[in-house]
Amino acid sequence: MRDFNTSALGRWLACACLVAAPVIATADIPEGYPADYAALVAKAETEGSVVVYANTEHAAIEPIVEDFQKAFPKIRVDYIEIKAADLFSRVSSESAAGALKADMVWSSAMDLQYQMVEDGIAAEYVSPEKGAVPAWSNFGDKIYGITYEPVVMVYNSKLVSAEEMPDTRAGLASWLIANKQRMTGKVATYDPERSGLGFFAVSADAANGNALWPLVTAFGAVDTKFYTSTGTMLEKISAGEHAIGYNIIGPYAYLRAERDPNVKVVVPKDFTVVLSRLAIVTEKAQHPAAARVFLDYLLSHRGQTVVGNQAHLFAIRPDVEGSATIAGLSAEYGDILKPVKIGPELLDAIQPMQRLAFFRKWNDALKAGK
Amino acid sequence: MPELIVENIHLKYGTAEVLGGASFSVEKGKIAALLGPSGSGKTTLLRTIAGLERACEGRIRVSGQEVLNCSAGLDLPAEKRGLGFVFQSYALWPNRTVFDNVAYGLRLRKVAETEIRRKVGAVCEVLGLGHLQQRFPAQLSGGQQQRVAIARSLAYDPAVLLLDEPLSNLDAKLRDEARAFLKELITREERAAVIVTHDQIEALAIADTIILLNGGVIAQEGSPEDLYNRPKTLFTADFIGNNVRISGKVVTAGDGFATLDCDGLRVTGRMGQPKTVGEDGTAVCRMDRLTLAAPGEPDAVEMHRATSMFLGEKWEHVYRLGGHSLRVLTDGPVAQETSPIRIPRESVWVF
Amino acid sequence: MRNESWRNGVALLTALFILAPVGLIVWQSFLTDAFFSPRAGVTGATYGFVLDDPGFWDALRNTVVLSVGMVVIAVPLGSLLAFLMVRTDLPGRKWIEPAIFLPLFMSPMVLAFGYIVSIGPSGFWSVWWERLFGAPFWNVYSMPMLILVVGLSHVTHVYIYVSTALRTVPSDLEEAARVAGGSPLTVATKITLPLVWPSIAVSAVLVAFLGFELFGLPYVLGDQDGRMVLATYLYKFNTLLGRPAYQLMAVVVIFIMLITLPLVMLQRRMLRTAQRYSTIGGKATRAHLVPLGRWRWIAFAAVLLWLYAVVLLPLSGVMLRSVVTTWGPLVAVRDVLTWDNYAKLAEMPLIRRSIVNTVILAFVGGFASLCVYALIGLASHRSPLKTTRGLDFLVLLPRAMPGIVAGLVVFWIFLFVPVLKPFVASLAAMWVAYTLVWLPFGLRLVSTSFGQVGRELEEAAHVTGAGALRVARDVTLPLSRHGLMAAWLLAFLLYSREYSTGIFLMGQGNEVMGTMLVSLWNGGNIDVASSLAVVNTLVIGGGIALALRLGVRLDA
Repeated sequence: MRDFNTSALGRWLACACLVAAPVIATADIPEGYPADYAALVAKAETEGSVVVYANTEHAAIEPIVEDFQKAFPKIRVDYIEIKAADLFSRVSSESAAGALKADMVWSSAMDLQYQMVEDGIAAEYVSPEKGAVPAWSNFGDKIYGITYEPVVMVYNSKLVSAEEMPDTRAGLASWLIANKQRMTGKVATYDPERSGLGFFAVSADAANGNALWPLVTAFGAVDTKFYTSTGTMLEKISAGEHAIGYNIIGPYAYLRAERDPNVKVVVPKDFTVVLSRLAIVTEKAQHPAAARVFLDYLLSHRGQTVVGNQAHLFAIRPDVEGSATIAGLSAEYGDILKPVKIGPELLDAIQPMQRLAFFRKWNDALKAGK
Repeated sequence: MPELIVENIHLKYGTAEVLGGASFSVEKGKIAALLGPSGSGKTTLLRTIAGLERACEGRIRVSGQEVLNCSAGLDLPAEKRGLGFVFQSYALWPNRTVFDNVAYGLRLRKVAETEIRRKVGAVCEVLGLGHLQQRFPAQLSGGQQQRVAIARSLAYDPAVLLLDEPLSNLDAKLRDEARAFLKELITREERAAVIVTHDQIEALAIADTIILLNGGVIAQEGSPEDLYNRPKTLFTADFIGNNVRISGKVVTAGDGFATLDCDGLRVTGRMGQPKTVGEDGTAVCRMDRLTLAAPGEPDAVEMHRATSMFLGEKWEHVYRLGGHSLRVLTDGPVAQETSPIRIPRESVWVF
Repeated sequence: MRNESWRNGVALLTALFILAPVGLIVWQSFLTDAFFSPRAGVTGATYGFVLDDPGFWDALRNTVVLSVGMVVIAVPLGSLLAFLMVRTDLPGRKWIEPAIFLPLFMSPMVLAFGYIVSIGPSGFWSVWWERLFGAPFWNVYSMPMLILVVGLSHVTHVYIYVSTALRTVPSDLEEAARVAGGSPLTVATKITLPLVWPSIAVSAVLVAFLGFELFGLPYVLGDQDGRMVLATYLYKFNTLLGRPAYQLMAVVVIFIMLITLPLVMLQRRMLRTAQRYSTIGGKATRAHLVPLGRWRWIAFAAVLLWLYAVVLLPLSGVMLRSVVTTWGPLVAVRDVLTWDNYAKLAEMPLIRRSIVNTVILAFVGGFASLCVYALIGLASHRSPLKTTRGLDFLVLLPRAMPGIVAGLVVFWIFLFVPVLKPFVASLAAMWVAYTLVWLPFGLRLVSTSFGQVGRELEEAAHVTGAGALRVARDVTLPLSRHGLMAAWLLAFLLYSREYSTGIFLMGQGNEVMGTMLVSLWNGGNIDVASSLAVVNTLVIGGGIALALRLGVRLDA
């Protein structure tokens, strides 16, 4: 981390931050924070570091860490990136052994994150920023949504023109059937059996009405390819191996679209599932104050600005402006956005029986199309 | 008291018995040769003495010190027995110089470096390796390597020296020289030596005692002369010397001698065991004692000459009678197609 | 009294080292939840669940087909390659030889991705082909293609075994056959190769065995069609039931162990026979080479074609990907050309650290592992004890554990054994996991080179007065140093490309290239992932070049 300051990217990001958030304060207490917050910051600074286990890619997290470091130069962020399911394994194992290293666990696997709350791993903490984020994004002051990420469709504009690309599930289903020949083997989506996130996204689809199942049948008809990672899907769509990707996590899709003009993003117009990366502060944290300071930073206006506009993870705080924010999305898409509710019902997604039943229905629907 | 006493060694590989109770002893300054065909257990016995194989029964004492006593559960490892061992392959460490090879035993014994230099120098001098100390084994000839191997095993003054076919890798001329040298060296240095060989000539020449092994047991033990002239078994008689074996029926027996009739070829020899007329018997004849018989000489058989070969110094002829053939050496060529062949009864043993 | 207790001590520690993870897996397979979870109860239903899953049988069938296919492709080609390299006047042998080993050290994930970029449906070789000859006839994601790729990339394994054996066989028989007018191919198949059939058979069993633990290639190339082999099937249980179902993963690992066990035993038996055979020659006599005549250039072209298929093709894909922002038939390469991917690599401090860590782990850790393997090897070297012989068999068990499972289990052991707890998620824990995973491979190499030290050289030191450790220090180790150097190099290369074992053991500061690659990949940052893959390959290539320069022989 230390040599980051000297790197070119670091300097560039530093400049960008200056532009984005002109009021760069040091560790002064932000407005509206309780009076004893200075004590928390002081304690956090004595702790010296915060250990974060997360599944967000390093490249996205660098600007956030960089800016946090600037705000709190005495608190080092030890960021460890692990895939969602492995992250859960690791945290629950460490916790069972009484050796949990993480002060904060931050993951896009919402169901597994909630399981950690259930397992008593999460600490209760009322963030002073709580009032500034939507009420639904926090449950029991133990788990906080940090981002607001639409689940989108992606297509390669050299293979499918903007005019013909459908923007609803029903539209996509019928268009795929109509263009069966052309689209065979050209559609990619998550394999719900092998990807936790994939399952979570489609089960949210299923919870939002019946539009999903005809689409699954259409997937079966065009011999859709099923993947375990967004990266591979986007790579192959960009290369033209696939034309359309369904249920791609927004930030990745937009990032790719920015780099490759052929890749276009469609926000489904019937409804758009919105996921959130959930953060918990751990009960047994070794740096409890630093973890709380980092959480507050993530939820703060300054932190959310970086989350949305630098990391492109879509800020969840309504008063942050920009395209990759809840404000920007809501302005453009309004009611079609269906954020997944944060609460005990998240656990439904990891009930083995319900999952197996879902997979049966999924496979039947696929077969119906073949 | 002998330097080395080996008593009743038994050794098994799995269930197969390799040594079935070998015993012998060697005095200081004497050489015992373990002789036998391959598979007779001679190398195994030597390795057991060294502690490289593990006996299941028996005792071994070196310089009065017990190193193996199976019934007492004592079995010192090779490194604690303080013996010298010369391997058939010499087993010189290729990554060390001659000096370092020879000095190794002294280094292990924590001898001071100056003393090591003196001792190694002395041993190398004795063995004629003085100028080769800084060479690596690969840079030496076979004979030199053999001497380094001996020097290495002598350097730390072991009382007992064990040599496993030390001469077999040398060519014929070098072997004769090395044999004489070895014998003289061991006598002079007053070690007790055990030498393994499959070559009876070597054993006869070098040893004070020959221990003839067959199938893991001692067939006969004695001085070279004893074994050559007084074999007690067919195996010994046949193994020692350059022999021809003829089988037949006993026609006469008495006075310590028996005569066999082998399809018309009559052979008379010493009885190695009591024989009665009509019994089957085997005669072992020393080939080099066969001659063309002068008229009227005893123990002669008329035979037909099949072929002759000129060997340089001598002529060799193959004589046939019935299904038997004998090789006879003469000083000059032979013209006759048939001749009486003398098979002297002193050089024939009947079993 | 003879003191062999140190052998027993080493054997005991090794057994513990192996059996603790294996035992944990067996135990876990009979529980309803993670072994540390209060929800866990004892059950046998886990086995029923896996056996009832048609997916398991599909994966098993795929695995068997893949493994048989590998044997069918790799064994004849590898044997023939060994014949060409060792016994004939094939042109360019000197520089072909190091290249033969390249497939062994390319990370399978990188290899697979390389194939997608080069000969996938949008691959650039495919695009060229289409321009010249029309639609390509292959499908990189198909099962036959997968078999071909894994088969060809395991030719090296066969080569190593067969070439070593061939070097000990006298060459006069071949000369006779060649003089009598046999073509080089006839000489190879009718005369030379039958002489080393035990080695060929051993390598066949090895390749079949490796087929069962293949992960990277089937994972990437079979991903989109959900075509699974046992090792990839296992990962389905990470997500299938919501929370990771360790008990079901454990069951699959046990099945892999049970299936591969007979293969391991078969290999051991054959190896014993092979060793009996290999003593024919003993002395390395300068073999006379079989002149290939007009076959010379045909054979040369065939070897080049193979190298092209297993090295150049995938490597060119990865290299191309590392200098573009995107690829495929829809873009012109010159429009998307960039050095950014490398610049980004240089800018991420984490990446720099992962490169340093990898080199440390591979170089220093590789050496430390070598020491462990050497100690175990010495304990069983010419040992009369039953315990150490039992060890011979035991050390093969970790092979059946896929890397990530081994990593997870080592993680658990560090976590739940109090004295080890402080070291969890350290480079040391990662080293332990690597050492465990590569134990069978490393130990085999080490014991082979110990076996090549003449028995009498060691005995000579014994009778001269050296104890077991002195003999090891003064004779066995110095004389097997070439083999040990080769084993160190192999450890270096294998550790550099390892990717799955470290996932659970990664903490702040001990990232390694392999795990970084996977996480970059999964995070969709394929730009940086491919430039890192190129760097990874360069590090490995540098390792090989350095080693060859220092005179280390890979097939020693």
